[in-house]
Amino acid sequence: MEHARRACSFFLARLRAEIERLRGGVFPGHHPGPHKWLNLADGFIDTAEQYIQQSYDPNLHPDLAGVKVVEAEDLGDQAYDLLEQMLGSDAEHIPHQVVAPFQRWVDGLDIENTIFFRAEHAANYELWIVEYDIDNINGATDSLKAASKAIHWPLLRVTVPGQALGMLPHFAVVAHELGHAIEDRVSIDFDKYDADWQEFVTRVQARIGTLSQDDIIDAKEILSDWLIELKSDAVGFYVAGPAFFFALAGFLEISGRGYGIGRSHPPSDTRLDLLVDHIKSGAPSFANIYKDLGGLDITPEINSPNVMKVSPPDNLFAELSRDLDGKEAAFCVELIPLVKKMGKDIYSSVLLNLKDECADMIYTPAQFLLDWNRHVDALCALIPPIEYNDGGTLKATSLTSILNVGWAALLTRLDDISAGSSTTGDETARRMERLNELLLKAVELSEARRLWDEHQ
Amino acid sequence: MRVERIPSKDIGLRHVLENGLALIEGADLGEHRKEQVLQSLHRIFSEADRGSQALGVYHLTAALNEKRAIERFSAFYHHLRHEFGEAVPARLGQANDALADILENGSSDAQRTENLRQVLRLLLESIRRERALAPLRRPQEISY
Repeated sequence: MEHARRACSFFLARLRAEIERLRGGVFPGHHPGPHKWLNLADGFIDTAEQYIQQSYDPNLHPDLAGVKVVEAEDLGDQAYDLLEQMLGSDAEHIPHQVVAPFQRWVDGLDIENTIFFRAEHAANYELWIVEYDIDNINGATDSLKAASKAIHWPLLRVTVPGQALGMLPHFAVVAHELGHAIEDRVSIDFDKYDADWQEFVTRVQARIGTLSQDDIIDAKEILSDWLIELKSDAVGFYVAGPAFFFALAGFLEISGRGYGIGRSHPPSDTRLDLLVDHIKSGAPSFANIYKDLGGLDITPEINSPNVMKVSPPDNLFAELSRDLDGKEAAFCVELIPLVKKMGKDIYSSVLLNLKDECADMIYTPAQFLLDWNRHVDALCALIPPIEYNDGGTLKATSLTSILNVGWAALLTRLDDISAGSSTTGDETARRMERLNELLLKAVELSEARRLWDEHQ
Repeated sequence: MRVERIPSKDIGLRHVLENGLALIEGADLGEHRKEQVLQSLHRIFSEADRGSQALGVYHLTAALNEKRAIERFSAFYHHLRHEFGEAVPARLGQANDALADILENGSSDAQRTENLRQVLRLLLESIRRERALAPLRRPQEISY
């Protein structure tokens, strides 16, 4: 026992030192999220150390003393996990320019949860939602309780790809991830689809036989996850405009090009089709503006020509059955027509909710038209879209506008952007890199301008 | 999206289940802690109960708008299905009723209390078993 106790104390002391080292680091945008997370880890260590002290109590039965040591190890393990979960949140990994503007999206969507952003060297965008019920931990120290109280639970962590995949225009996908944080605000009446659900059950039973109550629950869980993805796509679209569609499609193209279908996600082609339907809706639509000003026809495949479209149902069932069990494969195949039918309702319900709760966050075709006219020519002349003249007053360009102007230039005017004097490397890649740098500069300086305006 | 619910690693959940079981078996945790434990258990079981009802009803709306409650139910279902099979929803509902009774009247009837005791015990056993069986990471060898 004594060896375990000493080893645990040493582990906790080393964790404490690691936390101190991390506290000394720089988190972009002076973001409070990582510091709150470190305080929580510190609180876990305080409580673990208290358990170790209690284990020395001579009046404690040896078995209970052993339990105290084991639980101290568990708390230390939890603190260690917390440190792992915040890897990549420092200025070395996540582009420092984007954090404050992302936080403006968070605030604009009235997301009050504590949040932090991090990058990892992987093709992955993710919202991680975590909740610890600290009050239930026996003997939680005041420091742990205070650290927990300072966090607005559940805590959210947004992950973006770092390094080579950390291209600014692709960061529009973050709007989808924030959609996950607010999707539960959007209640949708699905009862009108009860008959379609019964048809789904009939089709599945025709493939695999009678379903038990457990199977029905499983199918509803998959459907629920798929609808959450579509709700989050809708948030991504209404907040970030067509930039979200291009970013998602571009990301899917570069990160695997598969069907995208599984327990958690509907097929990628269904998602892209729905997005294009909405890009083409309204007058003028985003698609009209792209056609009129950039000569570009928007199709579901435009930025993801190699992302696979799902095969016909029988073929898809045979393919999926190789990886998933037969029931899951049948659910996934037969849910596709159902979610396609529900898609329109999901987008309209999300739009209604955003109009009610944060109308300022909706990016409209009218705003896109203004942004294009204000910034695209200038951007091609290497002038970053930092600000615009609004009746004699200079105002900062929003992150959403910068992303959309960036995609407009990337897709319709890339040849107009100078590749610079360097002769090394691919010329198109050099143009794109220069565009990326201009957009990052715009994000940084527009945020500086906004801060300046706010402090005047 | 990833939602973190690993009951085998959630010390708070383990403690509240242990404390709930101790209370039913007559332990004295002090009035304040007793109230906190019962409220917490009632909140957790109400959520699981709501999740099970949402999944069980014929209409789709409830099932598709109660994600969090469904996750809670699924986590408990995972731990209890070997013992209770398709009776898990009913057992969770009764456990929640017992907690409501205890919070309101200080006690519940013998049958409901016994069910609550069984549910808490089985959840704890399953969580401990899952922890004991958690495999170490497998060594990986990847050749391209």
